[in-house]
Amino acid sequence: MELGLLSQAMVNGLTLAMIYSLAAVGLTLIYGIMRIIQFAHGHIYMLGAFAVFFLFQQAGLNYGLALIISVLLLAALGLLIERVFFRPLRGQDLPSMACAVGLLLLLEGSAAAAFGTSDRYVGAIFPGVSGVAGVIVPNQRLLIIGVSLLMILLLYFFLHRTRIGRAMRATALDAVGSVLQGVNTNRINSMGFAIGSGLAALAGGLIIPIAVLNPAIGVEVTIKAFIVIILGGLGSITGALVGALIIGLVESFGYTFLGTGTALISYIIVILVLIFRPTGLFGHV
Amino acid sequence: MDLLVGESISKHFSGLVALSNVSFTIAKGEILGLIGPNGAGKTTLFNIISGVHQPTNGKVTYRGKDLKGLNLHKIARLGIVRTFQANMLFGKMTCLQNMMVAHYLPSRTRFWQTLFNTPSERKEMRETQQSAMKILEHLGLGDVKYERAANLPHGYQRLLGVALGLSTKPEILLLDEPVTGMNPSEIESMLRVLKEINANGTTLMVVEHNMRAIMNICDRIIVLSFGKKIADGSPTEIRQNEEVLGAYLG
Amino acid sequence: MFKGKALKVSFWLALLIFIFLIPLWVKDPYILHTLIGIGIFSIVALGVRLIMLSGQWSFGQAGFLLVGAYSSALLVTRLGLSFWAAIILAGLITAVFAIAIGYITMRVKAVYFAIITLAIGEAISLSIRAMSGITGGSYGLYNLPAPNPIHLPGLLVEFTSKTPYYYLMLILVIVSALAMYRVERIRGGNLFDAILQKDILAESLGINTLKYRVLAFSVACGFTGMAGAFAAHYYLMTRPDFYGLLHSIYAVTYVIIGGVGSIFGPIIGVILLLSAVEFLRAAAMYQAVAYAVVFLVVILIFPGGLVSLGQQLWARATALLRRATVKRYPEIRSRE
Repeated sequence: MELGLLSQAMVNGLTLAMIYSLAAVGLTLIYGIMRIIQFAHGHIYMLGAFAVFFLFQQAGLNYGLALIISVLLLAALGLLIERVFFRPLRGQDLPSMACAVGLLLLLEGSAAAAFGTSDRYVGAIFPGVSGVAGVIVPNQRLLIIGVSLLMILLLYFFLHRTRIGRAMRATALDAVGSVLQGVNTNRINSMGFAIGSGLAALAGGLIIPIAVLNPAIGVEVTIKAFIVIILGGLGSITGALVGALIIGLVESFGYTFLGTGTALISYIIVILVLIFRPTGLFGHV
Repeated sequence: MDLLVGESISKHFSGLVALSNVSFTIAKGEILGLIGPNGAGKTTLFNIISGVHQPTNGKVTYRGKDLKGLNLHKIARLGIVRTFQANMLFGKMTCLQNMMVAHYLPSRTRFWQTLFNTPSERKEMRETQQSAMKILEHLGLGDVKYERAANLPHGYQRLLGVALGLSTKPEILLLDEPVTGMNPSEIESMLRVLKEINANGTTLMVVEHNMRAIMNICDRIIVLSFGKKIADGSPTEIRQNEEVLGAYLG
Repeated sequence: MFKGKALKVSFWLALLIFIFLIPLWVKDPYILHTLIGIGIFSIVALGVRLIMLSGQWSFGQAGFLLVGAYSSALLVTRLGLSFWAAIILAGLITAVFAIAIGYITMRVKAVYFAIITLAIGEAISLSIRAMSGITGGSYGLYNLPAPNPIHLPGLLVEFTSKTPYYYLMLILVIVSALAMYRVERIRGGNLFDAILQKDILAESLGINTLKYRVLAFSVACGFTGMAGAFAAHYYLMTRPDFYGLLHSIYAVTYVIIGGVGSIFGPIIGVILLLSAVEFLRAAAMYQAVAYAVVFLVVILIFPGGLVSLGQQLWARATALLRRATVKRYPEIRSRE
C-alpha cells in the first residue's frame, strides 16, 4: 500500500511540477528579458484556462485545437499588454510593478464580470490509466506531463538554436550589450512577453480537466510561480525547472502524507531562500 | 601613528582577482594617494576599507580594531567615511538638505528626541543648519545652497560630495576621484579645500587619475597595478619609479 | 502668501469639524458603516504609504490586520482583558512581530522584500487556519464582545450603535496619521527621503537604513494591527479569510492612486474605491474593473497620483485667479 501511495504522490508531484514549470518559465522569461515583475501572470493562466473551457466545453472544439487557439490568443494578449502598458514604463521599476498590480485587478475584475465567480468543472478528457515503468498513471496526468515536457524541449530548442532565441538570452544577460550588437529590443521584448504569456495559458488549459476553474485561481498561481523562480533564481530557466520540480514534489508529498499545513511549506521555503540565498539556486548575482 | 592598517588584502570576484596581497598603512594626519591604471583595483580597495565588500583574504584594522564583518554605516560610525565617483548625491534635494542629512552622524540627540521633535532636537536642527551653511560657504557653494543637487554643474557636485563627507566629521576621509572631470580652476579650488581639511586634522586617502593633483597634495602614494601593490613612497620616489612608469605606459 | 495659508488652514479645519459632526445629521447606519470601513482601510493605506516612503513595498498588510484582530479577540475572550487594553496590546504585538520579520527580511533588495511580504501575508492566513485549536481554524472566532462602555463625565458611551464606533474609528485614524507623520518627518523629513532616493549614500553617511526601514514597517504594522483589532470588535467576528491578498493589493493601489507624496493620498484612494463601490452598486460586477481602469489611467498619466493632480489644478486655478485680480487691481502687485 505504501508503495502505491508513494507512486501516486510521485505522479501528482510530477504533474504539479510540470504545470508550475510552464508558468514559472514564462514568468522568468518575462523577468529575465524585461525585468518586469508580472503580478498578473497567474491571471493569464486563468484566462487561458477559461479560453480552453469555452472552446472545448462550450463550443465543442477538439481539446488539442482548443489548447492551441487559447495559447495563441493569450500570446496575442501578452503582446498587447507589453506594448500598451509596460513599454511606456520601461526602466522604471516601481511604476512597472504598480502597472502589473493594476493589470491584475483589471483582469480579475473583467473575468469575474464576464464569466461570473462560480466554479466550473471540466472533468477528465482522457479517462483511464496506463502503466508506465510499472507505475499506474492516470492518462490525464500523463498527457499533462507529456505536453509540458514537449513544450519545454521546444522552448529549449528555440532559445539555444534559433537566432531570435539566442538574442533573447543575450538580452536577458546583458541588455545594453545586446542593443549595441544591433538586437531589436522591442521585438525581443514583445516576443518574450508573448511566449511567457502563452506558456502560462498552456498551463491553465492543461490543468482544467483536473482542477476547479474560477476567476480567483490566478492569484495563487502567480504566487507559486514566484516562489518557484525565486527558489530557482530570477531569470534562470534551468532554475525555474528545478524549482518547479522541488516545489511540485514537496507539495505533492506534503498533501499526501502531512495533510493540512502543507501550503505553508512553500511559503516558508521562499522566505528562507530570500533570506539566505536571495539569488536562488541558479540565479546570477 | 598608524591609523589604518591593511594586511595582505586579497579580493576575488567569482574567478576574477581584483586585489592580490595588498598591504598598506595610513598614518594620522597624512594625505595618502592611491593611483594605478584602470582596473588596478583602486575602487575595490576603497570598497573593502569602507565596508562595501569583505576581503577574501587579509584584514583591515583601524586603531587596532579589526573591521571584519562591519558594513558601510558601521564603519562610517567609526570615523571612516568615503565619497563616491559619480552621481552620488541626493539629487532631488537642495544642497542644504543634502548637508542636513550628512550631519546625521555628529548629531547628539537621541532617537526618541528625534521622533517627538523635542526642543533640544529643534535646537540641534538649527545648529546643524548653521553648520551646514558654513561648510557650504567655505567650499564656495554658498550661492547654490537652495539649488537642487542634480542641477549643479559637475565641479560643484564634486565639491558637494566632499562637503557631505566632511559633515560627518570623519577621522579618515576616503575620496574617490575628487577632481575627475573638472577644469583647472575647479581643481585648484578642490585641492585647496582638501589641504585645508587635512590641516584641520582629517586624514585623507585619495584615489585619482590626475597625476599633477596627486603629486601636488599627497604626502605618500601607493601604486596598484593588476591588483598588486607595485610601489609605496613619496611623490618624488614614485615619479622616478621604473615599474610605475611601465605600468602606465606598457 | 498670508491669505493663501489662512485659507488652507480654515479649509482643513472646516473639513475636520464637518467629519466630526457627520453622525449628528446622518442617521442612516449604512452610511456610517461604509465610513467606518473607509476608516479601517485608511489606516492600512497610511501604513503602506509609510512603508513606501522608506523605499519598500508591502503586499501583505492584510496579514497584519489579521494578527491584530486575532490578538485582540483572543486577549478579550481567553484572558478576559478589556477591549481597551486588548487593542493597545494587539497593536504592540503586531508591531513587535513586524520588527522581528523586518530585521530578518528587510536586508534584501526591495523587489525581493515585496515578494516576501506577499508570502508573509499568505503564510499568516495559513498559520491561523492551521492553529485551529486556538484560533478556531477556518471557521474563525464569533460572538466577539463590543468594546467595554466608557464612563465620561456626565456621559456613558456604550457601543450599541454605529455612532460610538464611528468616533472611535476617527480617533484611531487621526492618531495613526499623526504618529506616522512624526515618523516621516524625522530630521525634517530628510532622513526617509534620503533613504528612499539613494540608500547607499545614506549608509555611507552613517545612517543605519535597516533600522529606519524596520521602524517605518513596525509603526505601519502596529497601527494596522490596531485597525484589525477595531474591526474584530466592530464586526464582532474574525476569520482567516476576512482580510486577504486582494485587500493587501488594494491597499497598495489606494496609496498609488491617491499619491505617495501627501498623507491624504491614501485616504483619497480609499474613498475613491468605496465611492466606486457605491456608484456602481447596480452594476456590482463592474466595480472592480472600473477601479482597475481608473488606477491604470492614473499611473500611466498622473504618476504623482490624484492628490498631486489636485495640487496642480489648485495651483493653476489660484495662479489664474491671482493674475486676474492683479490685472483689475494693479496696486496689489507691490504687496507680493
